[in-house]
Amino acid sequence: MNKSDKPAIHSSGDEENNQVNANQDYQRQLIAKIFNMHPPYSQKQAIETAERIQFDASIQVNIQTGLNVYTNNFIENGIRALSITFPTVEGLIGEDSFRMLSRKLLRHEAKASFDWAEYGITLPTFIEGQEALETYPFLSEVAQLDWAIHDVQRQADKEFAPSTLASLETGDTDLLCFTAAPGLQLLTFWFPVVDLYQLIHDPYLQSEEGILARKELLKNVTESIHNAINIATPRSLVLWRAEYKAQFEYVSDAEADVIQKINAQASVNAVIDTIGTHNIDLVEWLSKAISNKLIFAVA
Amino acid sequence: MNSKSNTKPNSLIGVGLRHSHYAAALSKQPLADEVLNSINENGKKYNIDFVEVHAENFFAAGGVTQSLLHDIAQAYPLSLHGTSLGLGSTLSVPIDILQQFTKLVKRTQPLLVSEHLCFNRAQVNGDILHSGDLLPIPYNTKSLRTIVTHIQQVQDSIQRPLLIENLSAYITPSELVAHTKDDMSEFEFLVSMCESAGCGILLDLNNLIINELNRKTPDPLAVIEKRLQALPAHMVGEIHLAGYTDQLPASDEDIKQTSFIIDDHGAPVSEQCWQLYQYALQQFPGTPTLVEWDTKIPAWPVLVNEANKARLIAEAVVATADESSLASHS
Repeated sequence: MNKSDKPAIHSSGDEENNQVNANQDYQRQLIAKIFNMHPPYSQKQAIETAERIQFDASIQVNIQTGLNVYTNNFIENGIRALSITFPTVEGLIGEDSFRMLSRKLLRHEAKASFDWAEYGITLPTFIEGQEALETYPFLSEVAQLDWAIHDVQRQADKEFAPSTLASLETGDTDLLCFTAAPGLQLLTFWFPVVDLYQLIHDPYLQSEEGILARKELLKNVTESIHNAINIATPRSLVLWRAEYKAQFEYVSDAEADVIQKINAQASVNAVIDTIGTHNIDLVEWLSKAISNKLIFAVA
Repeated sequence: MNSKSNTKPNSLIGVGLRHSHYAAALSKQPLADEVLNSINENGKKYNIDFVEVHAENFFAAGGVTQSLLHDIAQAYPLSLHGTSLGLGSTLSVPIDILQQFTKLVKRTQPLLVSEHLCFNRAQVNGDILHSGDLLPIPYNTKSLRTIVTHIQQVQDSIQRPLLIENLSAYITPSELVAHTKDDMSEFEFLVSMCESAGCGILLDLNNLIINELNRKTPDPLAVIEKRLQALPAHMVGEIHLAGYTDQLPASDEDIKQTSFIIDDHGAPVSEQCWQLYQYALQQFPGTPTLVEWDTKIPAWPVLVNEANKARLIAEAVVATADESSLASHS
């Protein structure tokens, strides 16, 4: 290329302003079309588009074909991402229904972050509004558990330092706090989400040897689902990450109270008081919390 | 002159490392001899020189991905390939994403760092929406200014030059919005971008081929080869190779309509791509080369086989160049 022929990054003010507006218009139009939305057309663009549609149908075919590719990419990437985030939901309703549900969500909830892993937090609420899923009354809670697991597994690592527990003997327990495991949180569920999770993810239940156990679990799950509307309060579930995989289990109201205190960064003394109030054996509780890596350190 | 004293370095050959290959790629077990022998006429056993990972897959603050990345980086030199910055967007580079990207580059000290000639988001009716895709930008002065500013911002942050990958595009900006005019060609844009921003080019040969096939260009390889001659050799910092799935029209109506080839990286490197690679290496000798295979992913040895093919071509190009050099000196 001759040096004098090189495109320089210089242009007149008007020309540049036109280019700025045109580039913005184009980017807005393409994104809007991928999202099936309609941004306002600039007057100039509306006239030019109308002229082109009238005179050049082949361009319209090209545009539509290209747009279909991008729209399809968006939908397929979205479905793939949602199936990674919500594997239990997909397992329970099947691939076809999950694809349909995902498509609906992708049309309903715009993707506001670049990262697909951050998309889908509204699925539990969205499911509640889906008439077609009324036969799965537990699905919204299962989606909530899936999302919580997904979120916990992406949280920042913490250093497990059981040796710091020695400071419980010597330090001021009014000033010390327990360092919770990454993502430690309490959730409440009306439906048997742990059993439903197990039904989909436990390899033994998927195997031939596990057929009887699966039948038994299914029977229990069905019963629990029917009973869900009659129970007075939902069950508490604690969720945390010990290593790389999320852990979760049901806890009593008393244990839930203790975990709430830890999560609220209450002092060790306040946590011990709560343990005492509920007549929980402190040594046993502490030993279990450390061996399960519910608590990572004292600081 | 023997093969050791040639002036052209051997290309580093890598593969795109995707989730389904983590276990195999990190396995201490060597590939079965019969696999290697079946793919290598000389009986040599080649290793992968580097692997490319997508930066965004390792943006999570913690968890298993961080540990995996550590293991991968211990086993192979890394190429960090970004897909999220959308450097051609008229919106500014999101600071949080840039920080995550920078942190990753500084932590892993990769061999290569790359991004794309694209935009990915826009403000529509007051909200910023992310397509999660690599969308084409117009090749005009303003786009150039925008992307140069953003590339420089990223380079300042990561403290090293970026390689920018040319795109496969399914839409021409001026077809969608008529007053979006190109005032230069793709390659003119790339050269100006490199000169202004101090970045390099990640030359994706498969993308060039797909674009020309979709434009129904007669003799596409000849057209591309001619264009490659205009690229200064020092600007090309990496080459990507890939294949694509043949698109079979489902109906007569589809045949009448424009049938597009989708850049799905879902097949072995295409024959056209191998042919173009040989030509490209003559133009840009010693360029690190990476084989991508992202959908319908085969077993790890099949991907390694593709890398071995690339290495054979690279070695043949060097040998031919050496012979020519010898002949000209005798």
